[in-house]
Parts: sequence; C-alpha cells; structure tokens
Amino acid sequence: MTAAPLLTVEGVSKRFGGVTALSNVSLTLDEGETLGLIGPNGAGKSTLFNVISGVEPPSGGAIRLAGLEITGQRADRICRAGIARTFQAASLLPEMTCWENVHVASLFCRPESAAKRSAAARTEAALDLCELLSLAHADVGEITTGEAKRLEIARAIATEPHVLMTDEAVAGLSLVETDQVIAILRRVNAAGVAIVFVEHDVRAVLALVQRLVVLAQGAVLADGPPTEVARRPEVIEAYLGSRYAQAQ
Amino acid sequence: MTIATVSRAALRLSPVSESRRQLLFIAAFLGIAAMMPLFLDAYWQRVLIFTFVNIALASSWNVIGGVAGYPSFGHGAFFGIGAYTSALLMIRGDAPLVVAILGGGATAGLFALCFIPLFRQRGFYFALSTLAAQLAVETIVRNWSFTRGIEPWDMGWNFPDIGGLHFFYYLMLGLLGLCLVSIVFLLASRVGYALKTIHKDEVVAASVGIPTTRYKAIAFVFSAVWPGMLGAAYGPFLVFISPDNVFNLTITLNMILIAIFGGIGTVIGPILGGLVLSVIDQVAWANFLEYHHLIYGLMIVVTISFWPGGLVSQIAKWRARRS
Repeated sequence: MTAAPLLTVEGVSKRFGGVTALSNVSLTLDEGETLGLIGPNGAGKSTLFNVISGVEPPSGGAIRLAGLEITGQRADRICRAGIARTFQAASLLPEMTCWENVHVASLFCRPESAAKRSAAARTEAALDLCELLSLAHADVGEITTGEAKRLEIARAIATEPHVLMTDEAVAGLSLVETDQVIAILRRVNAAGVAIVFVEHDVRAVLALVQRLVVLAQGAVLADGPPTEVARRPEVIEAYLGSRYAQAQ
Repeated sequence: MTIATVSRAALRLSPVSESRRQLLFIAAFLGIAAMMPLFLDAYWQRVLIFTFVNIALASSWNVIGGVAGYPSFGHGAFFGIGAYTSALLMIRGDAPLVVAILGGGATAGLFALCFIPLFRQRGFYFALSTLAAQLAVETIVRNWSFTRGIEPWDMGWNFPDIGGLHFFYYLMLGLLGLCLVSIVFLLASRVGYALKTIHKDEVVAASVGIPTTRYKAIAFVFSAVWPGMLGAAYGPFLVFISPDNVFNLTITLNMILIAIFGGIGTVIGPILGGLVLSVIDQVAWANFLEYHHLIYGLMIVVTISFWPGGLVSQIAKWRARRS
C-alpha cells in the first residue's frame, strides 16, 4: 500500500471573469518529493501557485495538505499549515535588512516549529542554509539578484514548511548562481521538505526534480519522470520547442 | 565579509538596539520637558501641554497610518469619544479622573472595533471611509440628547476644577511618555514586524503566515485607545468641551501633518514634528499674526514636497554625509 500524498490538488479550476486560467487541474506531491512544474507563459503556473497558497480562491476543485482540506483558506492559514512559497516578481520587503526579511517569517511560522526553537534561531538557520548569513545586516536594496532569489527562499523556509513552492527561483541568474540555488534546494529537500519548482530553465528543472508536470492553457498536459515527459511530442510542441527536440 | 566575521549574537541585536536608542531619546526628551516648568511662564506651559497632546496623537496615528500604511482620516473621532466619555463619567457619574481616562481609552478602543470592516479598503478609499465615519460620529454626538448635543442649542459639558496648570502639565507629559514607550515596545514586538510587512506588501505578509486582518485590527485599536485616553484628560484641562473643540477635523489633520512633517512610520518623527511645528506656529502667531496660517501651511507644503521622509530622513542624510 502506498502512502497518501502530502499535497493533493483535485480538479482545481480558476476563472477570472470570462478567462479560464486553470481548468480541472489535478496533481499530487508526495512527502519529500521534488516536482517540476513547467509550461509556456500564461499556462497557469503562477495562478496554480496562488490558488494553492491561498492568495486567490479557486473557482472549483479541492486542495488537501496531509489529508487536511485547505481549499480557499486564507494565505496565512495555509502558510501555518505548512506550505511556503516564493514569488515570480521580486517580493522582498524594501528598506529592511536581510535578517528582518527572514525574521518576519520566523516569527509567524507553524506553532509546532515555534515550540522547538526560537524565531532568531530559525532566522539564523535559514540565512545560513541559503549562504546569506554574512549579508544579514545588509539592506535588501544593496544585494544582487542572485542573493535576492536566495533570500526569498530563506524567508520561505524560515516558516519551516512541509512544502516549498518556488516560482522562477533561478530566472535571470547566471549558471553559477543557478547551480548555487539548485544546491540550496537540494539541501532543503534533504531536510524532508517537498518542493514544487516552477521554472523555464529546463536544465535547472532536470537537475533538481524527480517528477515533471507540464501545464498548457490551464490544464495538465503531461505528468511523469522528467526525461520521459520531456520527450513527449505534445510537450515539445506546446513548450520545449523544436530546438530542444533536435538537441535530443 | 564572511560568516566567520559576523558575530551570531550581534545578528540578533539589531531591533533591540534600535528600541534602546528610541527609549533613550524618549527618556531625554521627557527629562528635559519635565524641567521646563522651572523656566517657563504659564503661557508657554500651556503651549507645551498642547504640544504634548499633539505629539501623542500623532504618534498614535502613526502606528496605523505610518507603520501599517492605513492612513486613517477619522482618528479625531477617538479623541472626541474619549473627551465625551470623560464628561459622562466625571460629570454624570462623579468618577475620578483616572477612571475617566481609562474609560475614555476603553470606549475609543471598543468603538475602533466597529471600523474593522473598513479594512477591506486601502489607500484613498480607506482614508475617505474613516473620514466619513468621523463625521457620522460627530453628527450623532451633536444630535443626541444623551451627549447634550441638541443642536442648535448645543450645551456641551463643563468640567469641575480638578487641578492647576502644573497638574495638567505633568499629567499630559506622563500620558505622552506612556504612549511613546508603549509604541516602542509594540513596534519591537512581532506586532511591529507584522505591521511593517503589511505596509510593504500585504500579499507577502499573508504568505509568511501573518493574519493581516487581525494585526491591522490590533494596530487600529491600539492607535485609537491613546487618543481616547488623551481626549479624556484633555476635557478637564479645557474645562468646557463641545463637538466644536473635540471633534474638530483639524485634530485629525494635525495628527497626520505632524507625523508626516517629522517622519512618517518612525518613532522619533512625530516627536520632532510636534516640537518643530509648535515652535513655527508660535513664532508665526507672535510675529506675523495676519500671515500665521499662510506661514504654517507653507512650511508644511515645502517640507512634504522637498523632504517626503520628513525631518528624520533629513537628519539621517545629514549624519550620513558627516560620517
């Protein structure tokens, strides 16, 4: 008998007026799994993140975390239930230091985590894991794009989640910076956190994830092992393009 | 800089040391203010009492308007509610002043809870809604026989004589001190972190686990309780109150102007703003009576236009240039 999935998204849809952003999307995420979520621009990846994390209520369907119904709950409750996320657009808190940006998440983490160690200890651990401890006192306006991306991850993991969802965490980064983020996410995953990794950088996706889901026009196009999914003709056609197909 | 060069203990000191600096500044300010009656005549002592009230009101408003980023244009209502609660308790109920002050704060705090549905709105819409709420409260007080507001035969309330100038000087200074210290502790706590985060990005705030509505409500009630207590103490000081002097819109306007002039969202800003604007006001009043409002208004427009961060940001820039 297989264990129940950690996160279950069942027939979720999201409509904005007459526009259907998500149509009957279903997927699961197992404990400790790394799941890649790819798709062309406008496929609904960020909308799915927003719906799972409570930023937007779904128009239909159900979302469960460890069997607990979280559909349409407020974002703060979903965070405290154990789902943390980063944002596609930079969302660091301006005029605050790196420490403060992470500490705010430590202060409002899950109650179980709060009982184990202090908020300051969680902040320190998150900064350390993301190799940002030396920049703790730096203002977020002074750090590089790569450091900003890592800081967003640090803030998310400071909530001590069961699931971490990163939205284009390596977009705009150099190869070296990308590899640094991948290494950090591997360490986060090794600590038992399941990861949903939304990314356009296929090299980064294939380097990190165990399973790949492809979204196209708000629906799931493919779901399976990364190398197998990446070879499917419909995926190549919808997203990866002929250049990738030829390279294979 | 490497990890090794950063003291892990020092990492945690940042918010604490800032609070310590703020508390030292407040202690110095209160210490100097406490000695002023030795050097000043009754007129200037009265000016300082008004200044203390204005600083405390602006500091309270700053919690919701400056720190949380929800500019309430109806905060004068809480001051008036405090003053009227004090009148009802002291004149009708023969209650002592301390009960009236606590009652004024409690009533204003309870009333603030009625404003919570307004948090569905932001910015301009929130400001206008709170302004409308203040006008509604004032209208009720003006027309309700229970509050002796039977316009146009508005009788208002006459307080008994409970103390001299020195008494009210130190009462207002004490309330100001408690108000400022409570704000420092509030902002250094997780509430302060939550409010700053809500101001900067409410979606991010919710995504890191902050129940935003709850913290906005805490900030709003906190920022209403102090005007309520100050209004309750202000009534007996003025001796006579009516909607014209405790529900006046200039009370709300002064809270906002002082906070912006001094440095919105900062602890020190409203203190500096209140002191400097009071000096400008008095100098303009004494020397250029006809142009008093013009000079006062011009100073505010110029400051807000050229120094949007207020006096505090200019001082910070000046210190940065020197170092």
